[in-house]
Amino acid sequence: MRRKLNLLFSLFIYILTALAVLVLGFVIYFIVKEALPLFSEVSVGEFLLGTRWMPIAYTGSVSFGIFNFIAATVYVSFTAMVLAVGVGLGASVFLSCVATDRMRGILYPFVDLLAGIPSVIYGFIGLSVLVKIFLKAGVHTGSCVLAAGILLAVMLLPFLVASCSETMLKEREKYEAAADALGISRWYAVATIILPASFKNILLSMILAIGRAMGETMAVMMVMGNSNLFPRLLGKSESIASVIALEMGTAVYGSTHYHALYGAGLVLMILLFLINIIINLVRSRMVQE
Amino acid sequence: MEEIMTLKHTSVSYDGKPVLKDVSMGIRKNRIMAVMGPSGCGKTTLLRSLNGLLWEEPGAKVTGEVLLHGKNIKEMSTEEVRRQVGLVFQTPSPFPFSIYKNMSYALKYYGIRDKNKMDRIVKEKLQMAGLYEEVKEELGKSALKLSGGQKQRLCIARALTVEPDILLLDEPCSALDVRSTAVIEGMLARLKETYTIVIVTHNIAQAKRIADDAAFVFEGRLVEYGEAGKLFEHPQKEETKSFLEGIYG
Repeated sequence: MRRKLNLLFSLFIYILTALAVLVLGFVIYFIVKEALPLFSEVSVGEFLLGTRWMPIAYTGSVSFGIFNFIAATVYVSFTAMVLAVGVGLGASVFLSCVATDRMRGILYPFVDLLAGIPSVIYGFIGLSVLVKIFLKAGVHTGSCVLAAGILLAVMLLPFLVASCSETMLKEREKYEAAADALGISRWYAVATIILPASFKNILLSMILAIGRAMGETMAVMMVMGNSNLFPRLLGKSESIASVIALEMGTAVYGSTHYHALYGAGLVLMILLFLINIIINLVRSRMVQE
Repeated sequence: MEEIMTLKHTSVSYDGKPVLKDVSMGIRKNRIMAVMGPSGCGKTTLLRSLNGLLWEEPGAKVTGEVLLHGKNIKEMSTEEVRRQVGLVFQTPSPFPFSIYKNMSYALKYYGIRDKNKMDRIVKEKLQMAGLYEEVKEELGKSALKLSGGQKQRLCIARALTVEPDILLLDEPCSALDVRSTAVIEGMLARLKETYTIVIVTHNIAQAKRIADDAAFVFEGRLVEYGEAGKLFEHPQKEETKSFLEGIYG
């Protein structure tokens, strides 16, 4: 009886696990299946490197080039990452190495709260604060890549801070007393021991963060201006996720436009896989050393 | 005999709870002093009060005087105290660098830039800790890859790089096997020619093997203190006797 129960239970667990993998498989299958018909009409090179996106023939012929969208996605994600890593590392050092336990207990929930705000609210704040500031500063219409980058950076912060400060706290507990006993000052120890020791995990949290940044749709869409232009810091642009979100509703089912949007989704997914793989390779090489 | 460190009516409390009560004792130069006592009796606190590590712990309050070469350590800078009083912890804690970088870390911090001088000190201290022969071919190897006993000897060698007068050891062998323990004990016997050593241990056999002086701490009080031979052979207090017979474990 007990044996049968064990068997049943393990079977149940297997099925649940398979289900989770299956969902991923299904997502990939579905996206690939819906994207493939596109490539019978548009070549892969044209799709990836073309800069003209004209899904419906208002003027002249249709054209499906998503190069600018790809560039914008990468550009805005890295802008956000640079901004967020700077602030995030500072905040993590403070939380893990300076703040007392009591202070940490008070400050951590605020960081968590930041992660719980829906992205549309971020977009709204970006629209009513950031875009206005950029408008006053002389940027045409105020919507720009930098605004989206700043907004995204704020959204990435809680993830970066939570994981980085946790790592640093652990490293600090390991090494602080030893450094202290040698008479080493706190800041010197932070800069020369704790930060380098945390580096791998900082990199890992950066991967997770960049994944989020690339897929983030709403907030970016609301402040980036959504024009098919090559991204410049203070110019408008449009990310892959924004194109899909903006146009999927109006694309006719089964049309080339519809398939092209799935194609764009596929590209976004592959982009994320590639970045994950690259950073993981770098990381495992560092682990070996 | 010259006393290098003196405690005068030192008491320590954490958040109002007394941990160490009115301890007065002298630590004599070029000798190994063993501090014994059951877990939680205040041995480690006693050790930490000697190099001012307690100052930074929130909630800890230290009263009384701790004199180093006749000077109150509270009147010295933290850096000065730490340089003169080295401390090695129970769990070996090498920094996540190479062996060489572990050894040169404090040297660099204290402004030694001359590569030859640094090499010489690193070699000398590793030899003192009895580690040099084992690692001389691979000073660039990560210190985290050493065995537990090697790590602990590296930590001792690292503590020696700043040229302390006293070396405090907080149960340095409790995480190590018998062989590593023997190696470290042999090393300590050599080190006392140059340094003064205070070792906290709950291992009575170890204290018997290496100590010149011994102290027994129980429930925050210094119960008995004196020459190791005398204390082990003829303990004056009932509590010491019971401890040596293994009653408090």
